[in-house]
Amino acid sequence: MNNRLRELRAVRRWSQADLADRLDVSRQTINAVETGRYDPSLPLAFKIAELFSLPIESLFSPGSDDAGQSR
Amino acid sequence: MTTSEEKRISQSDLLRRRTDRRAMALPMAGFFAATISAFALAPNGGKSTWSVILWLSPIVFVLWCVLAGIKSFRRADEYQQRMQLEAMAVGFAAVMITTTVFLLLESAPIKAPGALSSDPGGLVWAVGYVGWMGTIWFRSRAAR
Repeated sequence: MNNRLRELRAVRRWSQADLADRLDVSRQTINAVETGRYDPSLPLAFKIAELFSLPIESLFSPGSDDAGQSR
Repeated sequence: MTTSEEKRISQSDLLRRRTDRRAMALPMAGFFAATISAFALAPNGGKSTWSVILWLSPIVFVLWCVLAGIKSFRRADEYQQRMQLEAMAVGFAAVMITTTVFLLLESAPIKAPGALSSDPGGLVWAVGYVGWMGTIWFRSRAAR
Protein backbone atom coordinates (compact mmCIF):
# COMPACT_ATOMS: atom_id res chain seq x y z
CA MET A 1 0.00 0.00 0.00
CA ASN A 2 1.26 3.51 -0.82
CA ASN A 3 0.81 6.45 1.50
CA ARG A 4 1.52 10.19 1.65
CA LEU A 5 2.64 10.26 5.23
CA ARG A 6 6.20 11.45 4.59
CA GLU A 7 5.00 14.19 2.25
CA LEU A 8 2.33 15.47 4.65
CA ARG A 9 4.74 15.33 7.56
CA ALA A 10 7.37 17.28 5.62
CA VAL A 11 4.84 20.02 4.80
CA ARG A 12 4.22 20.49 8.53
CA ARG A 13 7.96 20.23 9.31
CA TRP A 14 7.34 17.43 11.77
CA SER A 15 9.95 14.82 12.54
CA GLN A 16 8.94 11.16 12.65
CA ALA A 17 9.10 11.43 16.43
CA ASP A 18 6.75 14.47 16.39
CA LEU A 19 4.23 12.53 14.36
CA ALA A 20 4.69 9.49 16.60
CA ASP A 21 4.01 11.69 19.64
CA ARG A 22 0.78 12.93 18.08
CA LEU A 23 -0.37 9.42 17.19
CA ASP A 24 0.77 7.82 20.45
CA VAL A 25 2.93 5.25 18.69
CA SER A 26 6.66 4.58 18.42
CA ARG A 27 8.89 6.31 15.87
CA GLN A 28 9.67 2.86 14.50
CA THR A 29 6.02 2.47 13.56
CA ILE A 30 5.97 5.77 11.66
CA ASN A 31 9.18 4.80 9.88
CA ALA A 32 7.78 1.39 8.94
CA VAL A 33 4.53 2.91 7.61
CA GLU A 34 6.35 5.62 5.63
CA THR A 35 8.73 3.17 4.03
CA GLY A 36 5.89 0.80 3.16
CA ARG A 37 7.20 -2.03 5.33
CA TYR A 38 4.03 -1.99 7.41
CA ASP A 39 0.42 -1.18 6.61
CA PRO A 40 -1.30 0.39 9.61
CA SER A 41 -4.44 -1.06 11.14
CA LEU A 42 -7.74 0.67 10.35
CA PRO A 43 -7.91 2.41 13.77
CA LEU A 44 -4.40 3.84 13.26
CA ALA A 45 -5.16 4.78 9.65
CA PHE A 46 -8.26 6.67 10.80
CA LYS A 47 -6.25 8.36 13.53
CA ILE A 48 -3.70 9.50 10.93
CA ALA A 49 -6.48 10.75 8.65
CA GLU A 50 -8.04 12.67 11.54
CA LEU A 51 -4.70 14.23 12.48
CA PHE A 52 -4.12 15.52 8.94
CA SER A 53 -7.83 16.36 8.50
CA LEU A 54 -7.96 14.38 5.30
CA PRO A 55 -10.15 11.51 4.12
CA ILE A 56 -8.46 8.17 4.57
CA GLU A 57 -8.53 7.40 0.84
CA SER A 58 -6.45 10.47 0.06
CA LEU A 59 -3.74 9.24 2.44
CA PHE A 60 -3.53 5.60 1.42
CA SER A 61 -3.78 4.00 -1.99
CA PRO A 62 -3.22 0.45 -3.22
CA GLY A 63 0.34 -0.22 -4.34
CA SER A 64 1.42 -2.03 -7.50
CA ASP A 65 2.29 -5.26 -5.67
CA ASP A 66 -0.54 -4.84 -3.20
CA ALA A 67 -2.37 -7.93 -2.09
CA GLY A 68 -3.44 -6.36 1.20
CA GLN A 69 -0.33 -7.72 2.87
CA SER A 70 2.32 -5.82 4.73
CA ARG A 71 5.89 -7.07 4.63
CA MET B 1 15.62 19.84 12.04
CA THR B 2 18.60 17.99 13.49
CA THR B 3 19.31 14.31 13.02
CA SER B 4 19.03 13.71 16.76
CA GLU B 5 15.59 15.33 16.71
CA GLU B 6 14.60 13.11 13.80
CA LYS B 7 15.91 10.00 15.57
CA ARG B 8 14.57 10.72 19.03
CA ILE B 9 12.21 8.31 20.74
CA SER B 10 8.56 9.37 20.84
CA GLN B 11 7.11 10.35 24.22
CA SER B 12 4.71 7.42 24.30
CA ASP B 13 7.57 5.02 23.52
CA LEU B 14 9.76 6.62 26.18
CA LEU B 15 7.01 6.24 28.79
CA ARG B 16 6.39 2.67 27.70
CA ARG B 17 10.10 1.80 27.96
CA ARG B 18 10.35 3.34 31.42
CA THR B 19 7.28 1.43 32.59
CA ASP B 20 8.68 -1.80 31.12
CA ARG B 21 12.04 -1.29 32.84
CA ARG B 22 10.36 -0.58 36.17
CA ALA B 23 8.07 -3.60 35.83
CA MET B 24 11.02 -5.90 35.02
CA ALA B 25 13.45 -4.59 37.65
CA LEU B 26 11.97 -6.30 40.69
CA PRO B 27 11.40 -9.80 39.20
CA MET B 28 14.87 -9.72 37.61
CA ALA B 29 16.47 -8.71 40.92
CA GLY B 30 14.48 -11.46 42.63
CA PHE B 31 15.59 -14.00 40.04
CA PHE B 32 19.27 -13.19 40.52
CA ALA B 33 18.91 -13.12 44.32
CA ALA B 34 17.16 -16.52 44.30
CA THR B 35 19.74 -18.03 41.92
CA ILE B 36 22.68 -16.69 43.95
CA SER B 37 21.02 -17.99 47.14
CA ALA B 38 20.70 -21.44 45.59
CA PHE B 39 24.38 -21.45 44.61
CA ALA B 40 25.42 -20.17 48.04
CA LEU B 41 23.21 -22.40 50.22
CA ALA B 42 23.13 -25.60 48.17
CA PRO B 43 26.13 -25.43 45.82
CA ASN B 44 26.13 -29.14 45.05
CA GLY B 45 22.41 -29.49 44.54
CA GLY B 46 21.56 -32.16 47.08
CA LYS B 47 18.54 -34.37 47.32
CA SER B 48 16.74 -32.83 50.28
CA THR B 49 13.33 -31.21 49.73
CA TRP B 50 14.81 -27.95 50.96
CA SER B 51 17.51 -27.84 48.28
CA VAL B 52 15.02 -28.73 45.54
CA ILE B 53 12.77 -25.87 46.66
CA LEU B 54 15.78 -23.58 46.80
CA TRP B 55 16.90 -24.48 43.28
CA LEU B 56 13.39 -24.12 41.86
CA SER B 57 12.64 -20.84 43.66
CA PRO B 58 13.93 -18.67 40.74
CA ILE B 59 10.99 -20.02 38.70
CA VAL B 60 8.63 -17.83 40.75
CA PHE B 61 10.53 -14.79 39.51
CA VAL B 62 10.66 -16.13 35.95
CA LEU B 63 6.84 -16.37 36.03
CA TRP B 64 6.74 -12.83 37.37
CA CYS B 65 8.98 -11.78 34.44
CA VAL B 66 6.61 -13.52 32.01
CA LEU B 67 3.64 -11.60 33.46
CA ALA B 68 5.59 -8.34 33.17
CA GLY B 69 6.44 -9.33 29.58
CA ILE B 70 2.78 -9.92 28.75
CA LYS B 71 1.85 -6.52 30.18
CA SER B 72 4.69 -4.94 28.21
CA PHE B 73 3.40 -6.61 25.04
CA ARG B 74 -0.07 -5.16 25.67
CA ARG B 75 1.42 -1.69 26.14
CA ALA B 76 3.36 -1.88 22.86
CA ASP B 77 1.93 -0.32 19.73
CA GLU B 78 0.63 -2.44 16.85
CA TYR B 79 3.88 -2.54 14.84
CA GLN B 80 5.95 -3.44 17.89
CA GLN B 81 3.45 -6.17 18.77
CA ARG B 82 3.75 -7.58 15.28
CA MET B 83 7.55 -7.58 15.47
CA GLN B 84 7.43 -9.26 18.89
CA LEU B 85 5.09 -11.98 17.61
CA GLU B 86 7.32 -12.68 14.62
CA ALA B 87 10.39 -12.76 16.83
CA MET B 88 8.72 -15.09 19.33
CA ALA B 89 7.70 -17.39 16.47
CA VAL B 90 11.33 -17.53 15.30
CA GLY B 91 12.54 -18.11 18.88
CA PHE B 92 9.99 -20.90 19.33
CA ALA B 93 11.00 -22.51 16.02
CA ALA B 94 14.67 -22.30 17.03
CA VAL B 95 13.89 -24.04 20.35
CA MET B 96 11.87 -26.76 18.59
CA ILE B 97 14.59 -27.37 16.00
CA THR B 98 17.35 -27.54 18.62
CA THR B 99 15.26 -29.89 20.77
CA THR B 100 14.58 -32.09 17.74
CA VAL B 101 18.31 -32.21 16.94
CA PHE B 102 19.05 -33.41 20.47
CA LEU B 103 16.22 -35.95 20.35
CA LEU B 104 17.51 -37.33 17.05
CA LEU B 105 21.06 -37.50 18.39
CA GLU B 106 19.73 -39.28 21.46
CA SER B 107 17.78 -41.78 19.33
CA ALA B 108 20.75 -42.47 17.05
CA PRO B 109 22.42 -42.73 19.66
CA ILE B 110 25.13 -40.18 19.00
CA LYS B 111 26.82 -38.54 21.92
CA ALA B 112 26.76 -34.75 21.76
CA PRO B 113 30.12 -33.18 22.59
CA GLY B 114 31.06 -32.11 26.11
CA ALA B 115 28.48 -30.78 28.53
CA LEU B 116 25.80 -30.84 25.80
CA SER B 117 25.46 -34.58 26.14
CA SER B 118 24.18 -34.34 29.71
CA ASP B 119 23.01 -30.75 29.94
CA PRO B 120 21.55 -29.46 26.65
CA GLY B 121 19.02 -27.19 28.43
CA GLY B 122 21.35 -24.20 28.46
CA LEU B 123 21.99 -24.43 24.73
CA VAL B 124 18.28 -24.84 23.93
CA TRP B 125 17.50 -21.77 26.03
CA ALA B 126 20.32 -19.74 24.43
CA VAL B 127 19.29 -20.69 20.88
CA GLY B 128 15.67 -19.68 21.60
CA TYR B 129 16.73 -16.41 23.18
CA VAL B 130 19.13 -15.53 20.37
CA GLY B 131 16.45 -16.40 17.80
CA TRP B 132 13.93 -14.17 19.58
CA MET B 133 16.16 -11.17 20.28
CA GLY B 134 18.09 -11.55 17.01
CA THR B 135 14.86 -11.32 15.03
CA ILE B 136 13.77 -8.19 16.89
CA TRP B 137 17.16 -6.63 16.18
CA PHE B 138 17.09 -7.68 12.52
CA ARG B 139 13.51 -6.53 11.91
CA SER B 140 13.92 -3.19 13.67
CA ARG B 141 17.34 -2.26 12.24
CA ALA B 142 15.92 -0.31 9.28
CA ALA B 143 13.69 1.82 11.48
CA ARG B 144 16.41 2.91 13.90
